[in-house]
This record gives sequence, structure tokens and C-alpha cells, in this order.
Amino acid sequence: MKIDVNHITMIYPSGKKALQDISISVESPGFVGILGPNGAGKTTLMKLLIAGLIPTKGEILLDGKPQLSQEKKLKSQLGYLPQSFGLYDELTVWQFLDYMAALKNVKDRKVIDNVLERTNMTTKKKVRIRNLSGGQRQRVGIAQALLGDPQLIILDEPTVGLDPEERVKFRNIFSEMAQNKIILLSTHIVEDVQAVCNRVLVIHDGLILFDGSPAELISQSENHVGVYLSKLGDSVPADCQVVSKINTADGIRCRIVAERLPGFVQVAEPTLEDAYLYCIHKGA
Amino acid sequence: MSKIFYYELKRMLLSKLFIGMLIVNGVFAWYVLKTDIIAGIAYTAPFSVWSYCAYLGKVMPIAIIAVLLLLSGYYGKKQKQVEILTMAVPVTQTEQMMIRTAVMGSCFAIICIMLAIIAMIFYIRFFGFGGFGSFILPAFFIILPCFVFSVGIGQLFGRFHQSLIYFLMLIVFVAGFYGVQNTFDFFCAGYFSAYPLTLPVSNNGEPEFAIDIKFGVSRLIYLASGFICITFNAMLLKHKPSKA
Repeated sequence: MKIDVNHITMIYPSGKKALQDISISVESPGFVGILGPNGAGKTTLMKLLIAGLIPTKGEILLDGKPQLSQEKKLKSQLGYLPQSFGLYDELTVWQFLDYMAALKNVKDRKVIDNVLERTNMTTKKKVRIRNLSGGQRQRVGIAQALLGDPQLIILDEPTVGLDPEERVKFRNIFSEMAQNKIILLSTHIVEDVQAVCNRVLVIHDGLILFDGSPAELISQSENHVGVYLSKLGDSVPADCQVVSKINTADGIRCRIVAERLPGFVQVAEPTLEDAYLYCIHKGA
Repeated sequence: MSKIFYYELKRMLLSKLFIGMLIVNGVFAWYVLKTDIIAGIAYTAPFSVWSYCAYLGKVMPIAIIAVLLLLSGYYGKKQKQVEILTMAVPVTQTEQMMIRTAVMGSCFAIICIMLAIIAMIFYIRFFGFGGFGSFILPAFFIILPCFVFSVGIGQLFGRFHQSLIYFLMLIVFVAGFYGVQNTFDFFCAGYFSAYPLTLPVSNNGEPEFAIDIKFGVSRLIYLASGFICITFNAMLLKHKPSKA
């Protein structure tokens, strides 16, 4: 499977410009992490990719053909977990997955048991959805996205509401699945992207600021990340963005990113989070 | 498709709203039978086809309000949240809408069957009357256009805003209880109360059951308009939403 996004611009009827002349190409196998602050345009990009919106300009191609002419094919190979979604509270977990399986034309009932097992929901399969916790509802959302062995999986903030142990587990599940599929993972959690993605997109204000591997993103921020000791009440140096502040016995250890580090700052080895923040800082 | 229909219907039938509306319809039907129909309509017997049709016409507004109330659930915030998932599946939004229309039809059928059973109990208990065969065809003539037209308009209104369905329910209420008695009487109660008075009385002491052509055409217009609305709504669903 191959998806080409060619010069997409998306302007909502309210006049909000969500994406501006975006172009990307994704081919299986691939695990792409999409990073960006709130309102950057990540969710809009996801909705365009699932044919939930029509772009104002540009086109999306699926295996070289216009996406809208391939909508049935796209949706029969799609596993989608949106950022916020609803479930039918009156149904049990198994019944809801059975319902979603019918909508996805998945006839084999073993598939439901399989996704329940993968999402650790087997013991909850007879529980009504209204009685589930937030994390368990999120797992049902992930389970429905995995139904029918989709070739394209689009996950918008999938690990929100999950505890750290579950987050790691799901990261590993997604990573295993990416062996022969396309997975697009939109998240705020840089750690998730670092752990599993072989490609990162950084989006800010509707523009793609970076498209490459996590290592390339990190290398871009070399010599732009530094640490220094600050005292209580000290102001942050101009044109710098604070990544973290840690209280130590000697004072407050500040980690910053900047285009030009002040002289008193000691250069530090960048992490992906530093690199992402530097990319946003530079783009802004 | 049958499984999708099964789950949609199950959700609807087990909802408190449906059970509540079933009770309200049942109580109201009994009230209408005991207060209005028991004396007969337009000097005909309480168990005449005229009286039975007038009964259906009188209870139909509440039945239609029940259907619109159930329909409004498909345009609520909760349903829209689920649709975020169900729009990303190979079964199209149009197919899903048709399944839901069938679910509405099934719920309405259940309400109508209950209304018919209540009438049968009433007729057997108070008059020992059991010739219900002659009621079937006129009943379809009343309930089918009412249902198709209301659901069609309701779907169209709901597409724009859920609250428009509540407004439609208000119109149904007003039209049902203060409606016209002419050929365009939507629920037919007024028509079946007034029209027999214009007909000659036959040997059995009451007019033979018949409807005039204008009234028949008006029922067909309601039916066709409803189908057009449902089709138009299905066509609108093929267009992509342009906002998040």
C-alpha cells in the first residue's frame, strides 16, 4: 500500500487554515510518528487520510489512484482510532466489537477473541461498556481498530488514558504490526515515537517542519541544547525555550533549546524531545 | 447487514426511552378507546371501520412523536461520537442510514401492533367483537404515509440540527390535536370523523366504508414526499462533511 499526499491545503468553513500545502508519501511497511502541539493540524491530516474530509486544495492518492475513487478499498483496509470517540454504552465489549466487525465486513468471530486478547480485555468481554474505566474504553477503541488485520492503521493519541505499563505493551503491539503495514501514530508523547517509529513528521501551524528519521531530527538539534544552573527568580535567557527544570542541591538545573545558546550554558546531548521542541522553537 | 440491524434494533428496543414511549402510547390508546371510541364515531358503531380508523388517527400523533423522539437519538452528541468510528468502515453512511430507517420502521411497527392489540382487547372485552380482518387495509392506509413522511422530514431536519426534530414534534402535536378535517388531514382522525357524515346510510344503519379520491391522493402525496426526503437525505450523506 502506498499513500501520496500532494500539496494538500485544508481551510475550514470558519476560515481556519488547518493545513498549508502539505506533501508526504508513505509506503508499507512503515511506522510514522506525527508530532506537533495542539492545533497544529495533526487530527485534520488524519481525517483527510481516512476520507473523512475533502481537502480545499490538493489530492490524496491511494496506490496511485485518487483516494475518493478508492474509498471502499481504503476503508476495508483501515483501522482507525480517533482522538476522541464514543462507544455504545448499552452493549457489552464483545457485542460492540461484533457490531464493529459487521461494519468492517469481518465474518470470523475468532478475530474478536484475538483482539480482545491482544488488548487484554478478554476478562471484560461480557461487561457493559458503561461500566468500563477510561483506560478500558481506550483499549476497546484500540481493539476495534485492530479488527480485520487492517493494512493501514491510523492512531490519534492511542495511549491517552493508559497506565505506563499498558502504554509500553501497546507500543510493542503497534511495533509488531508495522512489519508489513502502514501505521500512522499521532501523539504528544515523544517517548512513544522514539520507541517505535522509523519516521517522524513534525507539524506546526499546518506546516510540516520536519520529515525524516528520529536520528536525523536529533542530529538537527545538536549544539542547540544546553544546561545551566539557575537560582530562584532568575529569568530565562532571551530566545531560549526551557525543556525542563530540576531542583538540585546546587540550584535549579535548567535544560534549554535555542538557535544560539548563551555563553554560560553547557552544551548537552539532545534527546528526541529536545529535538522536537527545538524544531517547533525554530519553526515558530 | 443483518447483524448491524440486529444490534441497532437491540439498542433501540432495550432503551428506557422506547419502553417509556411504549407505555405512554398504550395508556393513551386505552384512554382514547374508553372516552372517544366507546360511543362510536360519526354515529357508527364503536367497532366499525370508521371508528377504528378514527381511533388510529387519534393515537397516531403520540406514536409519531415516539418515533421522532427515537429518531432524535441518531442526531445527538453521543451518536455523533460513535459515528467518528463508524464513518471509517466499508459499510457506507448511506447504508447505515438505511439500516437505521429500517430500525425505526421496526420500532414503529411494534408500537402499531401494540395499539392494534389494545384495540382488540377493548373490542372483545366491551363488545364481544372479533372481526378484525376489515381493519387491516385501512390501517395501513393511515399509518404508512404518517410514518414515511415523518421519518423522511425528521431525518432531513435532524441532519441540520437535532433540536429541529423537537420542533417537528411540536408541529406533530399541534397538527394532531388541532388539525384540519379535510382531505389533507395528516393523521386522518378528523377526516374519518367528518367524512362518514356526508355519505348515505346503508342497510346496516351506517355508511359503507369508502374514501374519496382526493383523500387517497393526499395519502399518496404524503407517502411519496416521505420517500423523496429519505432518498434526498441519503444523497446528502454521500457528500463529505467540510468541518471537523
